[in-house]
Amino acid sequence: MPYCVHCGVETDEKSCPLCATPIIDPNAKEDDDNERRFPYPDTIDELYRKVDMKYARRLALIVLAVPVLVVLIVNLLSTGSISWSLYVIGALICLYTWFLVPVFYRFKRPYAYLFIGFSSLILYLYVIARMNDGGGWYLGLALPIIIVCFIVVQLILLAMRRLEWQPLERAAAVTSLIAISLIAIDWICDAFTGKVYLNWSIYALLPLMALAGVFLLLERKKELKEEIRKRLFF
Amino acid sequence: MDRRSYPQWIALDNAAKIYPAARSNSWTAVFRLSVNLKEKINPEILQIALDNTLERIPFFGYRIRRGFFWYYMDSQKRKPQIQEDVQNPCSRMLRRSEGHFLMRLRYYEKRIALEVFHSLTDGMGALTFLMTLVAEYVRLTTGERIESGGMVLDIDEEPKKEEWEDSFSVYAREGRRARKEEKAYHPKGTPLFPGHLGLISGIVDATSLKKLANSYGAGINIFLCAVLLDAIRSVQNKEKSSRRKKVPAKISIPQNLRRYYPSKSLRNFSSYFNVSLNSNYGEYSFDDIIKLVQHTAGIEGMEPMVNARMSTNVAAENNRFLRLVPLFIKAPVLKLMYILHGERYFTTAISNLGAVNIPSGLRPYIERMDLILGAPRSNTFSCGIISCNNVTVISFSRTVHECEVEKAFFRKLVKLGLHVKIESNRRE
Repeated sequence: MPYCVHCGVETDEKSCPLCATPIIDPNAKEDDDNERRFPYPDTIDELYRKVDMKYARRLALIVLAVPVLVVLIVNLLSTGSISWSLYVIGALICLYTWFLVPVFYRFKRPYAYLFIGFSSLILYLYVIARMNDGGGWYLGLALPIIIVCFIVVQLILLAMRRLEWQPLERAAAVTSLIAISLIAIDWICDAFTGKVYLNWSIYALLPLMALAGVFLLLERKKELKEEIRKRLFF
Repeated sequence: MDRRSYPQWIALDNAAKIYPAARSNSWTAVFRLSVNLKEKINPEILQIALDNTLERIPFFGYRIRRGFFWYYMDSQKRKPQIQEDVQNPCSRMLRRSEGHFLMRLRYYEKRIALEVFHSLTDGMGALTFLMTLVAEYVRLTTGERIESGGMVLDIDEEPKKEEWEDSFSVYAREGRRARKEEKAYHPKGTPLFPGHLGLISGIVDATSLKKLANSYGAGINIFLCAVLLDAIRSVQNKEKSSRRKKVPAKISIPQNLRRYYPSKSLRNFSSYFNVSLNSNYGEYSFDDIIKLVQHTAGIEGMEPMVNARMSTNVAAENNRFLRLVPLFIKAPVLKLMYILHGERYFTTAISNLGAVNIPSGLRPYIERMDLILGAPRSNTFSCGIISCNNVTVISFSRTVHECEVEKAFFRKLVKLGLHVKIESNRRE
């Protein structure tokens, strides 16, 4: 009958289950170890790594539903129709799609999150435009800018995920895409005012394109790259 | 009773309602009762014994389903299949691969283990099912018919209506008690892998334990609760934070309500009370702790107190507003309430099913029994105790690597002169 010298309990295990002190039985034979039977088998039932996402999703929806219901009721009681509450509801939907959808839903590729996020923004601005008779600024300014931003962000994401590219090549692609998007935004703004005259975007385009060129050059000139790395080492 | 006259669905009882809503992958609301026989288990015969026992107590073969307002238990044609035992018992229940049953029967060497989702029944209901099954298994293997009595039902009898009665609603009255309590101390630890349960069982001689408890003027239950509170206090005293040292150590003790009311229900019919040890007031001797547990149990064990606590829960369930809220809203809210308040008011639960009352004919076949409580949600450990054939098994289940309370608990028993044999489910 082997005992733990610290806890004073009897145990058949090699070390005490309570304090992990080795159990030494001087009279034990080598065969005893093979004959020792564990009180539980080796098989392990399925174990879980996943967070309970279903519950989290449902809870988040309920938490969001509370302010939605409150503003709807207050809006209906105070004005007799659904008006200003749509601002709050739209903002909550946008918050949900931007911050909670990426946490709660797992898509294979991240482009879907962007699509959902930008779509909700387009719809939200559309609602605001409809409520304020702002079809002009929506179609002429907001919608094209959002679409340009959506395309550029998707392309940036695509460039950053091209792992076969070198990091500096990816940086050059991102810088160029930002420069192009600024030109597009400037052009849209000009078109909205009625006169296309690219102005500030040119000043942003030139240094950004130069920076992209430097990145590409550095990637090609290995010695220069190494020299800069050496000097900027920290 | 004709099988068709048996209810095809049953509403969940008052205690059962929280479990399907609040359960998660880590908190399974499953407990386990096992019996070690003297011979190796024959799986084919065990399956037949299970099928026959389910004919006698059919609702153990039901599954849980979602209604629009509440969950309910629904009959199904499929029958549960026995499974080989595993190293990590009390894992998640209601799996599609297992047919959504609320119980599973496992075997290993000489052991038959019944794992039960708490919505189905409490410890006494599960014990009745398991002992009836064991009696049937013994009959099938040896040919010896075990007479019914105690926890063994007559397998040839028809199921009785009172066995699936929701006794809470039958015995609840108007009087209610406030539920507000002080927050309890919770020991911290390094979590085990999710879904794994650390087990440490102490096997002691029931007669020696009783003699020791009586020497302190207490019964086994009171004595073991006091030892546990003392162990928790000793761990709490080692805490570095003075704030954590001041929080009271509290244990939750379940009460079998069948002791108070003539209920024959095999479903949930138990309540609980908490015993609090506030070290902030000063040092308590072991005798003081025994008195504390004894007197709290005395007061909380009075029928009016028990009924008022039970009636408070029944009244909450009967609240019209709550009943009309759809389940898809109610379930997450109930879960959140359980996360925030469920285990906030006690450090651990200690459940003692006492000495199992079985017919004398069954005794020679049984070696010992174990009661394992599943993983708690936010607490780190729980304790289940059961005695059978003069053997008491005290099983601790935990969700962290550290077992400081268990160590202090068993060392105290050894110090008081008790012989303790320890088993665990770890692999060295």
